[in-house]
Amino acid sequence: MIRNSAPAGQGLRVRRFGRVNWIGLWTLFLRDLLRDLDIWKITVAAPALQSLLFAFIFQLALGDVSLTMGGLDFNAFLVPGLVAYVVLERGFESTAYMMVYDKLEGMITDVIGAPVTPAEMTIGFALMAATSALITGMATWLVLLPFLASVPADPLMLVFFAVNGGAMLGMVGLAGGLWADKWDHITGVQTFIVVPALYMSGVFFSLDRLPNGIRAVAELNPAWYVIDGMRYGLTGTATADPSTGAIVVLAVNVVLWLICWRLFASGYKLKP
Amino acid sequence: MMTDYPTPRRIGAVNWLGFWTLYLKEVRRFLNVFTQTVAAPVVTTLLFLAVFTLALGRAVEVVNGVPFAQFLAPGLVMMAMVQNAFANTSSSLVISKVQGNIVDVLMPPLSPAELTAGFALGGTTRGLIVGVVTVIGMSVFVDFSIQKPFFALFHAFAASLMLALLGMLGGIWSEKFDHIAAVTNFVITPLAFLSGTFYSITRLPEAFQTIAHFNPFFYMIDGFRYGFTGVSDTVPMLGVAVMAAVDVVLLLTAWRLFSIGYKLKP
Repeated sequence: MIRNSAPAGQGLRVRRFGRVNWIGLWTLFLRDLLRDLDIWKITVAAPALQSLLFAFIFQLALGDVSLTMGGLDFNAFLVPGLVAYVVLERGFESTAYMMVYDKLEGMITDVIGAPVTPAEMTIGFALMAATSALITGMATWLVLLPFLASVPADPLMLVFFAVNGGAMLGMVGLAGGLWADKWDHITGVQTFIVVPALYMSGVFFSLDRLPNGIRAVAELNPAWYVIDGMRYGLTGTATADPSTGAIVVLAVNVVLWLICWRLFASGYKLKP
Repeated sequence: MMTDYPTPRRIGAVNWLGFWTLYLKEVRRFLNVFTQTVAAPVVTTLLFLAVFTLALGRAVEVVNGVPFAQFLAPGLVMMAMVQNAFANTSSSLVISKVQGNIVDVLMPPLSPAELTAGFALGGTTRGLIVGVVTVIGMSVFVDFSIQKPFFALFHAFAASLMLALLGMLGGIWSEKFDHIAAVTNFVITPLAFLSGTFYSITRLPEAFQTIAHFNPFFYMIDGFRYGFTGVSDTVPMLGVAVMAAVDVVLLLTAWRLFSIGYKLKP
């Protein structure tokens, strides 16, 4: 028997909500964010430590040699690159692994069965990825303070690029997670596409180090605008004009949002 | 004498068939997902080579009289080998324990020594395969020359074996994936990164140089690099002795854990 705690005479009723199911959206967002934070050692501490290791290694490999990169002292160049890399990678992992896990375990029905529209799902997942990425990015930035002890030059731009970068890779991860049928597929996407695309896009070196042909390709990579934009936010120096970068990143996110929305709406690999 | 009914197989001092079966199981386990276990580390290592030479190549031209790329490449190969040797045995044991199919390994007539050898050589094989493929991949970009083949081969084998054994100890100790992930992230990766893969330890402050001489990871990377470049940060034969001694101690430890059934048998 279902216990009815509502006042006598009222009985159980279907919850009414307007155009947007705010509770559903908030629940979806929180559910996956808390799952990420529950394993903070893997999702927050490990990427921060990995970045610290990179900073140390470059420091030791350089020794006394002074190196200028993209108009900045090498450390000032490297730290924003590492923070941006962590933001982008975490954005991808948060949605991609969640989606593959839920699909393989059959838990995805909890999401599909809930009264959440495809648009709400896409927004919920993208915001979750952005928040998770922002938290890990903050932790990484704090850990790297000894290498770049300065107040962010443009905090607003920094947060704008971090949030949009996290959401961008979050939606890439979402599409990848929907496509993947097993772990092999999604780790393949990460190892062979996402990580190389990020590593070669101005995390560790400015693009003028690349041969001309490859450089032209690298400049088409939207992730490069995120990394360059975050570098501008932290140091005030960038290769591209930050407002151009902001427009590119926003445009890419709109397109990605439409793709993910379409995938959810059509039930691609989710519904029979 | 032939009988009509099946009789138990007679096993001599060593159950060769059982050992071989366990070894093959360990090797086929990773070859089955070779994109994750072989191709992925090779691509990641090549990326590291590209990133470091592009970022630092103009500023750091030579290390210890060796061009930077030729100095870096053996270190990266060693790093890939040890990380994968460790991953093979640790993941195999943890997955088996969590899923419960560890009994398939504990029930058969395999002695602790045979178990140790089967798992350890499985992990060593993965390390060596990753190493060979990485060297082949890198030789497209880096001028490899092998000055002292004995040292290169010895350290490739001894280091893979050492990390395979460490992976076994970690896998036996871990009760869930979190535990072994923590060991990988917070112990193995920092040791592999900071023990001279990317720089000569003469760059370190005096105190850290002394500490490095107590770190087996330093000897394996330095010794392996010596095999390629013929330049070493320490006495090469000392590295051989240290690695051999560490491997023997770890073999005995792993054998002992299997004998007493630590965290494996009730």
